[in-house]
Amino acid sequence: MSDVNIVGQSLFNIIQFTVWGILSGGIYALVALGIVIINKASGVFNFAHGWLMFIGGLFFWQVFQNGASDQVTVGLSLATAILVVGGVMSMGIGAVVVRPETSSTTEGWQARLEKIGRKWLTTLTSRRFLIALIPALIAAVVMAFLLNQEDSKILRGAMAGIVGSILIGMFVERFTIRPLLGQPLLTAILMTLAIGFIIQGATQLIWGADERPIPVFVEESESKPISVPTGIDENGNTIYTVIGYDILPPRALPDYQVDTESALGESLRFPRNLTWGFAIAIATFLAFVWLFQYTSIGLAMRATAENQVLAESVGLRVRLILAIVWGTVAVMAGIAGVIQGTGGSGLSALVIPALALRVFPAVLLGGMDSVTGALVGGVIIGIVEQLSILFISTTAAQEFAPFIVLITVLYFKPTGLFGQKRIDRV
Amino acid sequence: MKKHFVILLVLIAVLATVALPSALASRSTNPDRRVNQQSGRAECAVNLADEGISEVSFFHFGDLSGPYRPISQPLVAGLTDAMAYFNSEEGGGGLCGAQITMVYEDTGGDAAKATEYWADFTSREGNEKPRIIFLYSSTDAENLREQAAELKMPILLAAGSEKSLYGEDQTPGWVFAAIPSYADQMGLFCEYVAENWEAMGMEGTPTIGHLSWNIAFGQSSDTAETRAYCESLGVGYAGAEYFLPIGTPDLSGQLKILTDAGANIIYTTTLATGSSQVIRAIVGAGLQGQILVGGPNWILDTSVYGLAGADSDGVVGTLPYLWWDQLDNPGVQIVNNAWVTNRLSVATNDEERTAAFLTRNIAYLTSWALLDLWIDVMTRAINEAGSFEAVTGETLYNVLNAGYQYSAMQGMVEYAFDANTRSQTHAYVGAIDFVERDGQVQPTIGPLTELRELPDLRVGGADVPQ
Repeated sequence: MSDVNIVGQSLFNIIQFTVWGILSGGIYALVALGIVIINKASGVFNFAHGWLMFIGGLFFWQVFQNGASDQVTVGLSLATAILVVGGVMSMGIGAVVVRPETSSTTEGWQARLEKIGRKWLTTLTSRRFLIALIPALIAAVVMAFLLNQEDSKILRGAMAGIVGSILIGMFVERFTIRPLLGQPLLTAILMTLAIGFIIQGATQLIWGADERPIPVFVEESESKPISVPTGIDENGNTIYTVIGYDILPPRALPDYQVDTESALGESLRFPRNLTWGFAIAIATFLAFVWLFQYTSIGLAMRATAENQVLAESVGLRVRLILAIVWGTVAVMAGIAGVIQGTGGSGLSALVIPALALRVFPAVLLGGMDSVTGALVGGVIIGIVEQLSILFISTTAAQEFAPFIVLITVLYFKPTGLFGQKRIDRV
Repeated sequence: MKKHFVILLVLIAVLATVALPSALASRSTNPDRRVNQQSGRAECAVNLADEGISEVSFFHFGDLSGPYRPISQPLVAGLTDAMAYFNSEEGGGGLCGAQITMVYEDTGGDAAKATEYWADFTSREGNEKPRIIFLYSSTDAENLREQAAELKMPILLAAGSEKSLYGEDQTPGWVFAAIPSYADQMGLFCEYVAENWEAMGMEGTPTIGHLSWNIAFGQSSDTAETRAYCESLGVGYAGAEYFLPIGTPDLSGQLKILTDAGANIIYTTTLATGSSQVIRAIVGAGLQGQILVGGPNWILDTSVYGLAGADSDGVVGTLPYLWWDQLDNPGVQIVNNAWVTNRLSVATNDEERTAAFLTRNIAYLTSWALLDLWIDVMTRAINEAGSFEAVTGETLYNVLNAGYQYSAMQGMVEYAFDANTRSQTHAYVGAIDFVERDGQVQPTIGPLTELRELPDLRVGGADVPQ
């Protein structure tokens, strides 16, 4: 079999490049899933997704690399507790019909303040809130414990990344998307562009311009001080100054390998970050299929996606659902950012957000409202790219092939492979 | 329920806390700072203060927030520190009695913005008008090459694409590169490989595969001339794969294509993220030690080993300047002292020290030589014109065009231009070396060869094989 050649390429190469295509397609799919889910739930095409990937990655990196300071531990534990309380208080939002609160704009501010105060008092003294405090307290303690794991940098980074991403996602939804409910969709789409710029500026202010390596798939190595020569003393000897510990990544681990030498002549290789990215994409896909198809909150999300006004009018808490969607998608974005950052490029403000732009063909190919389409579209684009690299060139693979496939598919199926065909009846 | 207020407060708390210092780090020992610069710079025949000019600006623009930012941001830090030094009495007291200031803009890598800033700068009048403009990227220089000639505005360029220097018609233009052209650097790399292949313990015939960015800069090392020159030295050519600088998830496929074609040398004309991706792909494939990684001067940088870490050990490139570690040079000592004082000593925790460490790179180092070069060229132009106001772009062009030579920062960088030469002509080959000494890891960039003249590999260049 190792001698078989197809269009000038060995069978091994065709299989190996297809495998790489599927794996890199997994990364595309993970990113595409986030874009599709936001679009599915709110009809908004989220141009800020790449920046959610980047900031989620930075939350991970911050605690992964430097550990959690006391302030970070307290802040994230408190945030976790609040999220748990919120979760418990909102349980059953999909099934239980709750009429939305309405407030009159003609009320005076004293009356409104009093109303809010009364509502908070009722909430804080409710049995449900008191019950919610127990898991919240446990969650906060567990979070504090996990954030301070000296032996597991990945675990502590993941905790920070997840909670930080949820907060960012919900923040973005509450203060930029929610006020635009009922406004033309284009306004919300343009708002996502603005969110991208805001996150870009905020990350640069807080973390600076440097690229951050995420040495996850690396050899274990002894922590040693890094020093540089900074001057010469009176005797002509070089002075070395210690900069710090662990500031340079250890040696990377080679790809996973599957021994196919006897059958194909070479062993198949699986780059570690892509393999994990693919596995997470599949797991996320299955989780969302389950969520959308078999849970009451999934049903509520689908109803919200279908028609926000109608969903709200039947008592679904559309705003809360959207907050949950944005929080969840921000976590997915953060995971994609970290996975991509574990490759050689590190967490780069250039490379990470741009990946979301490169995923657009996958989103359109699969269908902008299809979770299955995101997965399939991502994998197809990945395979097309890799086989184009093999048979033509990298330039063709990156700049032409995905778009040619996209145009061809959209010509015959304008809604994408799995997109829903909508009929507007007059 | 107004849970969003609580969420907002928590978010603000989280953002504030992650930016706060996590631990205090020990202070460094400041090195000896008794070095004085023995400048070989031209003497001023005119005092600008007498002309009523108290400030003269150094104009530059380029990508400070886009692809080049890991390199370009330390450039601004370096220029700021260098400006303070040159304005001090120890550094010469500015430019002929006037203090040096900086005027710069960030293009974010957007070519349209570069054109916009070019139009803005060149439309200024009087003493506010630049006489020479410093640019960072090959792409900007290529785009503005014609306009520079039309407006008679010389460009000092931090990069070295042949197109920007000589254009399609091979005419030396108004762009002067502060480093050798990438084609010439490629030639020097091939000379090194041809001379040392066996000594390096490498197997087979040396064969180069280019794995570079799909932009003007990335494609500038791989030309018909460099291929012919390398092949004349016994260094083969396996092909080239160009990838997008942004959003390329993995390079395993590209590497496989090149190694299947026989490449045992991967030459990458990329900056930090690209070079690191190339290195990681080679490690992933288990080919480290079997493949030599090379590149132009940008590969020998802190930004590369900052991302790729110990895997960058052994990466080979060209160096047209002395590196930070060569402290026997007084110019390098001055730069080190300034960096320790202004960057390292003010860092109060590990994060800030790491950030300071990353500014200890090519851009910070060479920005000192660039500013020194600018002062010297301006001084000669002022002397020639008789006053600052009489200096035009053409005066500066004539200075650079008429066999200009300058040993900037007391030998840290040797600049030489003439009517036919628009880039540096000398460099040496160096490598990244992770040395372990006294329980400490010391990443260094050390020389592998002596400084030597680069081959002239422009189209029709003297060293291009016929």
